[in-house]
Amino acid sequence: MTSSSAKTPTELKQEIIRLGPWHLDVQVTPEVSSSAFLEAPEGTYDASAESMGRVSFLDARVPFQNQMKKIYPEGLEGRSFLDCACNCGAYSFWMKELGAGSCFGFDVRDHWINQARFLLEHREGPSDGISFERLDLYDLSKRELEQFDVTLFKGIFYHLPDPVAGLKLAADLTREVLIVDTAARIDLDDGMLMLEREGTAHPMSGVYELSWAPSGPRVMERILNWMGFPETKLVSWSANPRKQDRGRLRIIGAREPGRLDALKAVTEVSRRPNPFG
Amino acid sequence: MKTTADLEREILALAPWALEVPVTPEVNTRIAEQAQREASGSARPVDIVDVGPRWRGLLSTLYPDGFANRSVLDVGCNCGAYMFWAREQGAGECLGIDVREHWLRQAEFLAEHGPWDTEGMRFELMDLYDLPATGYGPFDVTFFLGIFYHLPDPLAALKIAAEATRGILILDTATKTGLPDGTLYAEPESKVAPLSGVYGLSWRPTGPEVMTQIFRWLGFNEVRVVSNRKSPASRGADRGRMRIVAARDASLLADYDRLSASRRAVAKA
Repeated sequence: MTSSSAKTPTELKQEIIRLGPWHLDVQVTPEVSSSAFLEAPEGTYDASAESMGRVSFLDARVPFQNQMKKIYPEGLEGRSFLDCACNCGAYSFWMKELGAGSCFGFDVRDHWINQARFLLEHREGPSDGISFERLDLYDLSKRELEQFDVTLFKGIFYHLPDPVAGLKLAADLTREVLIVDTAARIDLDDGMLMLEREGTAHPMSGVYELSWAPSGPRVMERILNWMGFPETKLVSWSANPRKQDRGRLRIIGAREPGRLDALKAVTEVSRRPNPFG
Repeated sequence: MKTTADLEREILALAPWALEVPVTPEVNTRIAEQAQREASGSARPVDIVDVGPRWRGLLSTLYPDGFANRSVLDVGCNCGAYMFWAREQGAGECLGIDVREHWLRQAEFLAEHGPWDTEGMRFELMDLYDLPATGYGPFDVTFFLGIFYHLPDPLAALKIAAEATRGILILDTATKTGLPDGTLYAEPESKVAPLSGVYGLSWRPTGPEVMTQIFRWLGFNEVRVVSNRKSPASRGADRGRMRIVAARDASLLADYDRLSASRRAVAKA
Protein backbone atom coordinates (compact mmCIF):
# COMPACT_ATOMS: atom_id res chain seq x y z
CA MET A 1 0.00 0.00 0.00
CA THR A 2 2.67 2.49 1.02
CA SER A 3 6.28 2.33 0.00
CA SER A 4 7.44 1.96 3.61
CA SER A 5 5.56 -1.31 3.93
CA ALA A 6 6.44 -2.58 0.46
CA LYS A 7 7.78 -6.09 0.60
CA THR A 8 9.60 -8.07 -2.02
CA PRO A 9 7.69 -10.92 -3.69
CA THR A 10 9.74 -13.38 -1.65
CA GLU A 11 8.87 -11.65 1.60
CA LEU A 12 5.19 -11.58 0.64
CA LYS A 13 5.21 -15.28 -0.17
CA GLN A 14 6.82 -16.07 3.17
CA GLU A 15 4.17 -14.03 4.93
CA ILE A 16 1.39 -15.74 2.93
CA ILE A 17 2.75 -19.15 3.91
CA ARG A 18 2.97 -18.09 7.54
CA LEU A 19 -0.69 -16.96 7.46
CA GLY A 20 -1.93 -20.11 5.67
CA PRO A 21 -3.86 -22.12 4.96
CA TRP A 22 -5.96 -19.86 2.74
CA HIS A 23 -9.45 -20.50 1.44
CA LEU A 24 -9.67 -17.90 -1.32
CA ASP A 25 -7.26 -17.09 -4.09
CA VAL A 26 -6.60 -13.35 -3.96
CA GLN A 27 -4.12 -11.41 -6.02
CA VAL A 28 -1.79 -9.45 -3.74
CA THR A 29 0.48 -7.97 -6.41
CA PRO A 30 0.66 -8.79 -10.14
CA GLU A 31 3.26 -11.46 -9.31
CA VAL A 32 1.99 -12.84 -6.01
CA SER A 33 -1.34 -14.30 -4.93
CA SER A 34 -2.49 -16.08 -1.80
CA SER A 35 -2.01 -19.30 -3.77
CA ALA A 36 1.64 -19.00 -2.78
CA PHE A 37 0.75 -20.91 0.39
CA LEU A 38 0.26 -24.01 -1.78
CA GLU A 39 4.04 -24.07 -2.19
CA ALA A 40 4.57 -24.35 1.56
CA PRO A 41 6.85 -27.24 2.47
CA GLU A 42 5.15 -30.50 3.47
CA GLY A 43 4.20 -30.43 7.15
CA THR A 44 3.88 -26.64 7.41
CA TYR A 45 0.24 -26.94 8.38
CA ASP A 46 -1.08 -29.40 10.90
CA ALA A 47 -3.82 -31.16 8.92
CA SER A 48 -5.31 -33.02 11.88
CA ALA A 49 -9.01 -32.55 12.42
CA GLU A 50 -8.30 -30.95 15.81
CA SER A 51 -6.33 -28.12 14.29
CA MET A 52 -6.50 -26.91 10.73
CA GLY A 53 -7.76 -29.96 8.93
CA ARG A 54 -8.30 -29.58 5.22
CA VAL A 55 -9.31 -26.21 3.83
CA SER A 56 -10.60 -26.01 0.27
CA PHE A 57 -8.96 -23.40 -1.92
CA LEU A 58 -10.79 -21.66 -4.69
CA ASP A 59 -10.80 -18.78 -7.12
CA ALA A 60 -14.22 -17.10 -6.93
CA ARG A 61 -13.49 -13.59 -8.17
CA VAL A 62 -14.73 -13.65 -11.75
CA PRO A 63 -18.11 -15.35 -11.18
CA PHE A 64 -18.75 -13.12 -8.16
CA GLN A 65 -17.94 -9.92 -10.01
CA ASN A 66 -19.96 -10.97 -13.06
CA GLN A 67 -22.94 -11.55 -10.81
CA MET A 68 -22.58 -8.16 -9.16
CA LYS A 69 -22.36 -6.48 -12.55
CA LYS A 70 -25.72 -8.00 -13.46
CA ILE A 71 -27.30 -6.63 -10.30
CA TYR A 72 -25.58 -3.23 -10.68
CA PRO A 73 -24.89 -2.71 -14.39
CA GLU A 74 -23.83 0.90 -13.80
CA GLY A 75 -21.26 -0.20 -11.24
CA LEU A 76 -21.60 0.00 -7.48
CA GLU A 77 -21.42 3.82 -7.45
CA GLY A 78 -20.10 4.03 -3.93
CA ARG A 79 -22.52 1.54 -2.38
CA SER A 80 -21.43 0.16 0.98
CA PHE A 81 -20.80 -3.52 1.55
CA LEU A 82 -21.06 -5.81 4.58
CA ASP A 83 -19.34 -9.20 4.48
CA CYS A 84 -20.46 -11.58 7.24
CA ALA A 85 -17.91 -14.29 8.00
CA CYS A 86 -15.57 -12.55 5.61
CA ASN A 87 -12.77 -15.09 5.69
CA CYS A 88 -9.69 -13.33 4.23
CA GLY A 89 -11.81 -10.38 3.15
CA ALA A 90 -11.48 -11.09 -0.56
CA TYR A 91 -15.01 -10.02 -1.44
CA SER A 92 -14.49 -6.52 -0.04
CA PHE A 93 -11.52 -6.02 -2.37
CA TRP A 94 -13.50 -7.38 -5.31
CA MET A 95 -16.44 -5.12 -4.48
CA LYS A 96 -14.07 -2.19 -4.25
CA GLU A 97 -12.83 -2.94 -7.76
CA LEU A 98 -16.44 -2.54 -8.93
CA GLY A 99 -16.83 0.86 -7.30
CA ALA A 100 -18.02 0.05 -3.79
CA GLY A 101 -17.73 2.69 -1.06
CA SER A 102 -17.02 1.61 2.48
CA CYS A 103 -16.66 -2.13 3.10
CA PHE A 104 -16.78 -3.87 6.45
CA GLY A 105 -15.91 -7.53 6.89
CA PHE A 106 -16.00 -9.52 10.10
CA ASP A 107 -15.19 -13.06 11.07
CA VAL A 108 -15.26 -14.94 14.35
CA ARG A 109 -11.78 -16.42 13.74
CA ASP A 110 -8.54 -14.50 14.15
CA HIS A 111 -6.92 -16.76 11.56
CA TRP A 112 -8.99 -15.19 8.77
CA ILE A 113 -8.90 -11.65 10.10
CA ASN A 114 -5.10 -11.84 10.18
CA GLN A 115 -5.16 -12.73 6.48
CA ALA A 116 -7.62 -9.92 5.74
CA ARG A 117 -5.42 -7.38 7.49
CA PHE A 118 -2.38 -8.65 5.61
CA LEU A 119 -4.23 -8.10 2.35
CA LEU A 120 -5.36 -4.68 3.44
CA GLU A 121 -1.76 -3.71 4.08
CA HIS A 122 -0.05 -5.28 1.09
CA ARG A 123 -2.58 -5.74 -1.68
CA GLU A 124 -2.21 -3.48 -4.71
CA GLY A 125 -5.44 -1.79 -5.75
CA PRO A 126 -8.09 0.39 -4.14
CA SER A 127 -8.60 -0.24 -0.43
CA ASP A 128 -9.82 3.04 1.05
CA GLY A 129 -12.77 2.59 3.42
CA ILE A 130 -12.21 -1.14 3.87
CA SER A 131 -12.01 -2.44 7.42
CA PHE A 132 -12.00 -5.84 9.09
CA GLU A 133 -12.73 -6.97 12.60
CA ARG A 134 -12.84 -10.13 14.64
CA LEU A 135 -16.48 -10.28 15.67
CA ASP A 136 -19.17 -12.81 16.47
CA LEU A 137 -22.27 -12.34 14.32
CA TYR A 138 -24.45 -12.32 17.42
CA ASP A 139 -22.52 -9.27 18.66
CA LEU A 140 -23.11 -7.37 15.41
CA SER A 141 -26.02 -5.35 16.79
CA LYS A 142 -23.83 -4.09 19.65
CA ARG A 143 -21.63 -2.30 17.11
CA GLU A 144 -24.48 0.07 16.17
CA LEU A 145 -23.45 0.12 12.53
CA GLU A 146 -25.15 2.13 9.82
CA GLN A 147 -27.02 0.12 7.20
CA PHE A 148 -25.10 -1.29 4.25
CA ASP A 149 -26.38 -1.37 0.67
CA VAL A 150 -25.20 -4.89 -0.13
CA THR A 151 -24.59 -7.75 2.29
CA LEU A 152 -22.87 -11.06 1.68
CA PHE A 153 -23.84 -13.89 4.02
CA LYS A 154 -21.69 -16.67 2.65
CA GLY A 155 -20.58 -19.81 4.40
CA ILE A 156 -22.11 -18.92 7.75
CA PHE A 157 -25.84 -19.76 7.74
CA TYR A 158 -25.16 -23.47 8.31
CA HIS A 159 -22.71 -22.84 11.15
CA LEU A 160 -25.22 -21.13 13.46
CA PRO A 161 -27.28 -22.52 16.33
CA ASP A 162 -30.08 -20.14 15.38
CA PRO A 163 -29.59 -19.25 11.72
CA VAL A 164 -32.86 -17.36 11.36
CA ALA A 165 -31.93 -14.95 14.15
CA GLY A 166 -28.41 -14.74 12.73
CA LEU A 167 -29.50 -13.92 9.21
CA LYS A 168 -32.04 -11.44 10.61
CA LEU A 169 -29.21 -9.44 12.18
CA ALA A 170 -27.58 -9.10 8.77
CA ALA A 171 -30.89 -8.53 6.97
CA ASP A 172 -31.82 -5.66 9.26
CA LEU A 173 -28.50 -4.02 8.36
CA THR A 174 -29.13 -4.37 4.63
CA ARG A 175 -30.68 -1.64 2.48
CA GLU A 176 -30.83 -3.21 -0.98
CA VAL A 177 -29.43 -6.66 -1.70
CA LEU A 178 -28.68 -9.66 0.52
CA ILE A 179 -26.70 -12.57 -0.91
CA VAL A 180 -27.03 -15.82 1.03
CA ASP A 181 -24.70 -18.65 0.08
CA THR A 182 -25.07 -21.77 2.18
CA ALA A 183 -24.50 -25.49 2.37
CA ALA A 184 -27.78 -27.34 1.94
CA ARG A 185 -29.22 -30.83 2.12
CA ILE A 186 -30.31 -32.10 -1.26
CA ASP A 187 -31.79 -35.44 -0.15
CA LEU A 188 -34.84 -34.09 1.71
CA ASP A 189 -38.09 -32.38 0.80
CA ASP A 190 -37.63 -28.65 0.56
CA GLY A 191 -39.04 -26.35 3.20
CA MET A 192 -37.05 -27.42 6.24
CA LEU A 193 -34.06 -26.72 8.38
CA MET A 194 -32.31 -29.98 9.24
CA LEU A 195 -30.55 -30.36 12.55
CA GLU A 196 -26.84 -31.00 12.38
CA ARG A 197 -24.10 -31.00 14.95
CA GLU A 198 -20.63 -29.91 14.05
CA GLY A 199 -17.22 -29.88 15.63
CA THR A 200 -15.93 -26.48 16.60
CA ALA A 201 -12.18 -26.84 16.14
CA HIS A 202 -11.84 -26.80 12.38
CA PRO A 203 -11.21 -23.28 11.03
CA MET A 204 -14.01 -23.65 8.50
CA SER A 205 -16.51 -24.72 11.15
CA GLY A 206 -18.78 -22.72 13.41
CA VAL A 207 -18.22 -22.23 17.10
CA TYR A 208 -21.57 -23.35 18.55
CA GLU A 209 -21.89 -27.13 17.84
CA LEU A 210 -25.60 -26.89 17.07
CA SER A 211 -26.14 -26.07 13.44
CA TRP A 212 -28.77 -26.38 10.74
CA ALA A 213 -28.84 -27.00 7.01
CA PRO A 214 -31.67 -25.78 4.78
CA SER A 215 -33.25 -28.53 2.70
CA GLY A 216 -33.57 -26.39 -0.40
CA PRO A 217 -34.21 -22.92 -1.76
CA ARG A 218 -37.87 -22.67 -0.77
CA VAL A 219 -37.19 -22.55 2.94
CA MET A 220 -34.59 -19.82 2.31
CA GLU A 221 -37.05 -17.91 0.15
CA ARG A 222 -39.64 -17.98 2.95
CA ILE A 223 -37.10 -16.72 5.43
CA LEU A 224 -35.96 -13.91 3.12
CA ASN A 225 -39.54 -12.90 2.32
CA TRP A 226 -40.33 -12.64 6.01
CA MET A 227 -37.22 -10.50 6.52
CA GLY A 228 -38.48 -7.94 4.02
CA PHE A 229 -36.94 -9.17 0.77
CA PRO A 230 -39.99 -9.89 -1.40
CA GLU A 231 -37.82 -10.40 -4.48
CA THR A 232 -35.57 -13.47 -4.41
CA LYS A 233 -33.63 -15.36 -7.02
CA LEU A 234 -31.93 -18.73 -6.74
CA VAL A 235 -28.74 -18.32 -8.75
CA SER A 236 -26.96 -21.58 -7.99
CA TRP A 237 -27.88 -24.94 -6.51
CA SER A 238 -25.36 -27.69 -6.83
CA ALA A 239 -24.59 -31.15 -5.52
CA ASN A 240 -21.47 -31.81 -3.50
CA PRO A 241 -19.43 -34.33 -5.51
CA ARG A 242 -17.99 -35.86 -2.35
CA LYS A 243 -21.10 -36.13 -0.15
CA GLN A 244 -24.24 -37.35 -1.84
CA ASP A 245 -26.74 -35.85 0.61
CA ARG A 246 -25.22 -32.37 0.53
CA GLY A 247 -24.96 -29.47 -1.81
CA ARG A 248 -24.75 -25.74 -1.87
CA LEU A 249 -27.07 -22.96 -2.89
CA ARG A 250 -26.91 -19.24 -3.45
CA ILE A 251 -30.09 -17.22 -3.19
CA ILE A 252 -30.20 -13.46 -3.51
CA GLY A 253 -32.85 -11.27 -1.93
CA ALA A 254 -33.70 -7.70 -2.91
CA ARG A 255 -35.91 -5.16 -1.21
CA GLU A 256 -37.02 -3.53 -4.46
CA PRO A 257 -38.68 -5.32 -7.38
CA GLY A 258 -36.73 -5.62 -10.62
CA ARG A 259 -33.30 -5.38 -9.04
CA LEU A 260 -32.50 -9.03 -9.79
CA ASP A 261 -34.12 -9.27 -13.22
CA ALA A 262 -30.86 -9.67 -15.12
CA LEU A 263 -29.84 -12.72 -13.08
CA LYS A 264 -30.66 -16.12 -14.47
CA ALA A 265 -32.70 -18.30 -12.13
CA VAL A 266 -31.78 -21.90 -11.43
CA THR A 267 -34.57 -24.41 -10.90
CA GLU A 268 -32.89 -27.70 -10.10
CA VAL A 269 -29.82 -29.21 -8.50
CA SER A 270 -26.84 -29.18 -10.84
CA ARG A 271 -24.17 -31.88 -10.88
CA ARG A 272 -21.68 -29.47 -12.40
CA PRO A 273 -19.10 -27.79 -10.18
CA ASN A 274 -20.42 -24.83 -8.25
CA PRO A 275 -19.00 -21.68 -9.88
CA PHE A 276 -19.12 -19.70 -6.64
CA GLY A 277 -17.22 -22.16 -4.48
CA MET B 1 -72.11 -9.80 42.44
CA LYS B 2 -73.02 -10.85 38.93
CA THR B 3 -75.68 -13.40 38.21
CA THR B 4 -75.08 -16.52 36.19
CA ALA B 5 -76.92 -14.89 33.30
CA ASP B 6 -74.64 -11.81 33.51
CA LEU B 7 -71.52 -13.95 33.46
CA GLU B 8 -72.73 -16.01 30.52
CA ARG B 9 -73.55 -12.86 28.62
CA GLU B 10 -70.01 -11.62 29.20
CA ILE B 11 -68.51 -14.94 28.19
CA LEU B 12 -70.40 -14.75 24.91
CA ALA B 13 -69.27 -11.18 24.39
CA LEU B 14 -65.66 -12.24 24.92
CA ALA B 15 -65.83 -15.18 22.46
CA PRO B 16 -64.17 -16.91 20.76
CA TRP B 17 -62.66 -18.91 23.60
CA ALA B 18 -59.97 -21.54 23.10
CA LEU B 19 -60.01 -23.17 26.52
CA GLU B 20 -62.73 -24.69 28.63
CA VAL B 21 -62.56 -23.00 32.02
CA PRO B 22 -64.98 -23.41 34.91
CA VAL B 23 -65.62 -19.88 36.22
CA THR B 24 -68.15 -20.65 38.97
CA PRO B 25 -69.80 -23.99 39.83
CA GLU B 26 -72.56 -23.06 37.37
CA VAL B 27 -70.72 -21.17 34.67
CA ASN B 28 -68.19 -22.51 32.15
CA THR B 29 -66.62 -20.92 29.07
CA ARG B 30 -67.81 -23.99 27.17
CA ILE B 31 -71.17 -22.26 26.69
CA ALA B 32 -69.65 -20.10 23.96
CA GLU B 33 -68.97 -23.07 21.71
CA GLN B 34 -72.19 -23.06 19.72
CA ALA B 35 -72.13 -19.30 19.22
CA GLN B 36 -68.52 -19.08 18.12
CA ARG B 37 -68.98 -21.97 15.74
CA GLU B 38 -71.88 -20.16 14.09
CA ALA B 39 -70.05 -16.83 14.08
CA SER B 40 -66.99 -18.23 12.33
CA GLY B 41 -68.84 -18.53 9.03
CA SER B 42 -66.70 -20.34 6.48
CA ALA B 43 -63.46 -19.90 8.46
CA ARG B 44 -62.31 -22.71 10.72
CA PRO B 45 -63.93 -22.08 14.12
CA VAL B 46 -61.85 -21.78 17.26
CA ASP B 47 -62.39 -25.06 19.14
CA ILE B 48 -62.84 -24.97 22.89
CA VAL B 49 -60.64 -27.68 24.34
CA ASP B 50 -60.84 -29.24 27.77
CA VAL B 51 -57.21 -29.24 28.81
CA GLY B 52 -57.65 -28.60 32.53
CA PRO B 53 -57.63 -32.14 33.98
CA ARG B 54 -54.51 -33.24 32.08
CA TRP B 55 -52.72 -29.99 32.86
CA ARG B 56 -53.46 -30.17 36.57
CA GLY B 57 -52.22 -33.76 36.48
CA LEU B 58 -48.92 -32.73 34.93
CA LEU B 59 -48.40 -29.93 37.44
CA SER B 60 -49.03 -32.22 40.38
CA THR B 61 -46.54 -34.71 38.93
CA LEU B 62 -43.90 -31.99 38.66
CA TYR B 63 -44.69 -30.56 42.11
CA PRO B 64 -46.54 -33.18 44.18
CA ASP B 65 -46.23 -30.96 47.26
CA GLY B 66 -47.50 -27.89 45.41
CA PHE B 67 -45.70 -24.96 43.79
CA ALA B 68 -44.65 -23.59 47.18
CA ASN B 69 -44.85 -20.03 45.92
CA ARG B 70 -42.70 -20.64 42.85
CA SER B 71 -43.02 -17.88 40.26
CA VAL B 72 -44.50 -18.56 36.83
CA LEU B 73 -44.13 -17.01 33.39
CA ASP B 74 -46.74 -17.95 30.80
CA VAL B 75 -45.71 -17.03 27.26
CA GLY B 76 -48.69 -16.72 24.95
CA CYS B 77 -50.96 -17.08 27.98
CA ASN B 78 -54.28 -17.01 26.12
CA CYS B 79 -57.05 -16.60 28.71
CA GLY B 80 -54.62 -17.31 31.55
CA ALA B 81 -56.21 -20.63 32.50
CA TYR B 82 -52.91 -22.51 32.70
CA MET B 83 -51.67 -19.97 35.22
CA PHE B 84 -54.88 -19.94 37.25
CA TRP B 85 -54.59 -23.71 37.57
CA ALA B 86 -50.96 -23.33 38.69
CA ARG B 87 -52.16 -20.79 41.25
CA GLU B 88 -54.62 -23.40 42.56
CA GLN B 89 -51.56 -25.51 43.31
CA GLY B 90 -49.70 -22.78 45.12
CA ALA B 91 -47.89 -20.73 42.44
CA GLY B 92 -46.49 -17.39 43.63
CA GLU B 93 -45.87 -14.37 41.37
CA CYS B 94 -47.36 -14.99 37.92
CA LEU B 95 -46.83 -13.07 34.70
CA GLY B 96 -48.86 -13.92 31.63
CA ILE B 97 -48.05 -12.28 28.30
CA ASP B 98 -49.84 -12.46 24.99
CA VAL B 99 -49.70 -10.46 21.76
CA ARG B 100 -53.46 -10.43 21.36
CA GLU B 101 -55.61 -8.18 23.49
CA HIS B 102 -58.55 -10.49 22.83
CA TRP B 103 -57.09 -13.19 25.08
CA LEU B 104 -55.99 -10.77 27.76
CA ARG B 105 -59.55 -9.46 28.10
CA GLN B 106 -60.63 -13.04 28.79
CA ALA B 107 -57.84 -13.37 31.37
CA GLU B 108 -59.04 -10.22 33.10
CA PHE B 109 -62.59 -11.53 33.12
CA LEU B 110 -61.49 -14.83 34.66
CA ALA B 111 -59.29 -13.05 37.19
CA GLU B 112 -62.25 -10.98 38.29
CA HIS B 113 -64.94 -13.66 38.37
CA GLY B 114 -63.12 -16.95 38.82
CA PRO B 115 -62.44 -18.61 42.18
CA TRP B 116 -58.73 -17.79 42.30
CA ASP B 117 -56.82 -15.48 44.57
CA THR B 118 -55.18 -13.26 41.97
CA GLU B 119 -52.85 -11.31 44.26
CA GLY B 120 -49.48 -11.14 42.49
CA MET B 121 -50.85 -12.25 39.13
CA ARG B 122 -50.33 -9.96 36.17
CA PHE B 123 -51.29 -10.10 32.52
CA GLU B 124 -49.56 -7.89 29.98
CA LEU B 125 -49.96 -7.25 26.29
CA MET B 126 -46.42 -8.01 25.18
CA ASP B 127 -44.46 -9.69 22.43
CA LEU B 128 -42.05 -12.25 23.85
CA TYR B 129 -39.29 -10.67 21.78
CA ASP B 130 -39.75 -7.57 23.97
CA LEU B 131 -39.53 -9.43 27.29
CA PRO B 132 -35.75 -9.02 27.85
CA ALA B 133 -36.09 -5.24 27.67
CA THR B 134 -38.57 -5.25 30.58
CA GLY B 135 -36.10 -6.80 33.02
CA TYR B 136 -38.81 -9.16 34.38
CA GLY B 137 -37.72 -12.47 35.81
CA PRO B 138 -36.12 -14.88 36.18
CA PHE B 139 -39.04 -17.20 36.87
CA ASP B 140 -39.06 -20.61 38.50
CA VAL B 141 -41.37 -22.16 35.94
CA THR B 142 -42.15 -21.11 32.38
CA PHE B 143 -45.06 -22.25 30.24
CA PHE B 144 -44.41 -22.19 26.52
CA LEU B 145 -47.69 -23.64 25.35
CA GLY B 146 -49.11 -23.39 21.87
CA ILE B 147 -46.68 -20.72 20.73
CA PHE B 148 -43.50 -22.38 19.41
CA TYR B 149 -45.17 -23.06 16.04
CA HIS B 150 -46.52 -19.51 15.65
CA LEU B 151 -43.13 -17.77 15.54
CA PRO B 152 -40.91 -16.71 12.65
CA ASP B 153 -37.88 -17.54 14.74
CA PRO B 154 -38.87 -20.02 17.44
CA LEU B 155 -35.27 -20.67 18.48
CA ALA B 156 -34.64 -17.05 19.38
CA ALA B 157 -37.98 -16.96 21.21
CA LEU B 158 -37.35 -20.13 23.17
CA LYS B 159 -33.90 -18.80 24.04
CA ILE B 160 -35.48 -15.69 25.53
CA ALA B 161 -37.89 -17.84 27.55
CA ALA B 162 -35.11 -20.20 28.65
CA GLU B 163 -32.91 -17.34 29.78
CA ALA B 164 -35.85 -16.05 31.85
CA THR B 165 -36.27 -19.46 33.51
CA ARG B 166 -34.48 -20.72 36.61
CA GLY B 167 -36.22 -24.07 36.92
CA ILE B 168 -38.56 -25.93 34.62
CA LEU B 169 -39.82 -25.07 31.16
CA ILE B 170 -42.97 -26.76 29.88
CA LEU B 171 -43.37 -26.74 26.13
CA ASP B 172 -46.41 -27.81 24.17
CA THR B 173 -46.31 -27.54 20.41
CA ALA B 174 -47.90 -28.71 17.21
CA THR B 175 -45.59 -30.99 15.27
CA LYS B 176 -45.05 -31.91 11.64
CA THR B 177 -45.52 -35.65 11.25
CA GLY B 178 -44.36 -37.91 8.46
CA LEU B 179 -40.81 -36.58 8.25
CA PRO B 180 -37.65 -37.95 9.80
CA ASP B 181 -37.18 -36.31 13.20
CA GLY B 182 -34.50 -33.66 13.36
CA THR B 183 -35.98 -30.86 11.32
CA LEU B 184 -37.96 -27.68 11.65
CA TYR B 185 -40.54 -27.34 8.92
CA ALA B 186 -41.26 -23.85 7.61
CA GLU B 187 -44.71 -22.75 6.51
CA PRO B 188 -46.57 -19.53 5.99
CA GLU B 189 -49.45 -18.82 8.37
CA SER B 190 -52.19 -16.25 8.72
CA LYS B 191 -51.27 -13.06 10.53
CA VAL B 192 -54.85 -12.31 11.59
CA ALA B 193 -56.66 -15.51 12.64
CA PRO B 194 -57.13 -15.37 16.44
CA LEU B 195 -55.13 -18.53 17.10
CA SER B 196 -52.35 -17.73 14.64
CA GLY B 197 -49.10 -15.89 15.13
CA VAL B 198 -48.64 -12.36 13.93
CA TYR B 199 -45.59 -12.78 11.68
CA GLY B 200 -46.61 -14.79 8.62
CA LEU B 201 -43.78 -17.31 8.94
CA SER B 202 -43.91 -20.28 11.28
CA TRP B 203 -42.11 -23.54 11.99
CA ARG B 204 -43.17 -26.93 13.28
CA PRO B 205 -40.70 -29.39 14.83
CA THR B 206 -40.75 -32.98 13.59
CA GLY B 207 -40.47 -34.66 16.97
CA PRO B 208 -38.61 -35.03 20.26
CA GLU B 209 -35.11 -35.32 18.79
CA VAL B 210 -35.02 -31.86 17.27
CA MET B 211 -36.48 -30.30 20.41
CA THR B 212 -34.05 -32.17 22.66
CA GLN B 213 -31.09 -30.81 20.71
CA ILE B 214 -32.52 -27.30 20.88
CA PHE B 215 -33.03 -27.56 24.65
CA ARG B 216 -29.46 -28.80 25.10
CA TRP B 217 -28.18 -25.80 23.17
CA LEU B 218 -30.11 -23.65 25.65
CA GLY B 219 -28.48 -25.40 28.61
CA PHE B 220 -31.58 -27.44 29.44
CA ASN B 221 -29.87 -30.81 29.35
CA GLU B 222 -32.69 -32.69 31.04
CA VAL B 223 -35.57 -33.24 28.63
CA ARG B 224 -38.61 -35.44 29.22
CA VAL B 225 -41.22 -36.15 26.57
CA VAL B 226 -44.57 -36.09 28.34
CA SER B 227 -46.51 -36.95 25.20
CA ASN B 228 -46.03 -37.07 21.45
CA ARG B 229 -48.88 -38.17 19.26
CA LYS B 230 -50.56 -37.72 15.93
CA SER B 231 -53.50 -35.33 15.86
CA PRO B 232 -56.90 -36.43 14.55
CA ALA B 233 -57.03 -36.37 10.76
CA SER B 234 -59.54 -33.52 10.96
CA ARG B 235 -56.67 -31.25 12.06
CA GLY B 236 -54.66 -32.05 8.93
CA ALA B 237 -52.88 -35.21 7.78
CA ASP B 238 -49.43 -34.06 8.83
CA ARG B 239 -50.11 -32.68 12.30
CA GLY B 240 -49.23 -33.97 15.72
CA ARG B 241 -48.85 -32.59 19.19
CA MET B 242 -45.97 -32.91 21.61
CA ARG B 243 -45.48 -31.90 25.22
CA ILE B 244 -42.05 -31.69 26.81
CA VAL B 245 -40.71 -30.67 30.20
CA ALA B 246 -37.11 -29.52 30.37
CA ALA B 247 -34.76 -28.38 33.09
CA ARG B 248 -31.14 -27.41 33.52
CA ASP B 249 -30.69 -29.94 36.30
CA ALA B 250 -32.12 -33.45 36.76
CA SER B 251 -32.86 -32.84 40.44
CA LEU B 252 -35.60 -30.42 39.39
CA LEU B 253 -37.38 -33.27 37.65
CA ALA B 254 -36.87 -35.89 40.38
CA ASP B 255 -40.53 -35.96 41.42
CA TYR B 256 -41.67 -36.04 37.83
CA ASP B 257 -39.32 -38.94 37.03
CA ARG B 258 -40.41 -40.95 40.06
CA LEU B 259 -44.14 -40.33 39.64
CA SER B 260 -44.31 -40.73 35.88
CA ALA B 261 -42.38 -44.01 36.12
CA SER B 262 -44.78 -45.38 38.72
CA ARG B 263 -47.75 -44.20 36.66
CA ARG B 264 -46.39 -46.03 33.65
CA ALA B 265 -45.94 -49.15 35.78
CA VAL B 266 -49.55 -48.93 36.96
CA ALA B 267 -50.78 -48.42 33.42
CA LYS B 268 -48.84 -51.49 32.29
CA ALA B 269 -50.24 -53.66 35.08
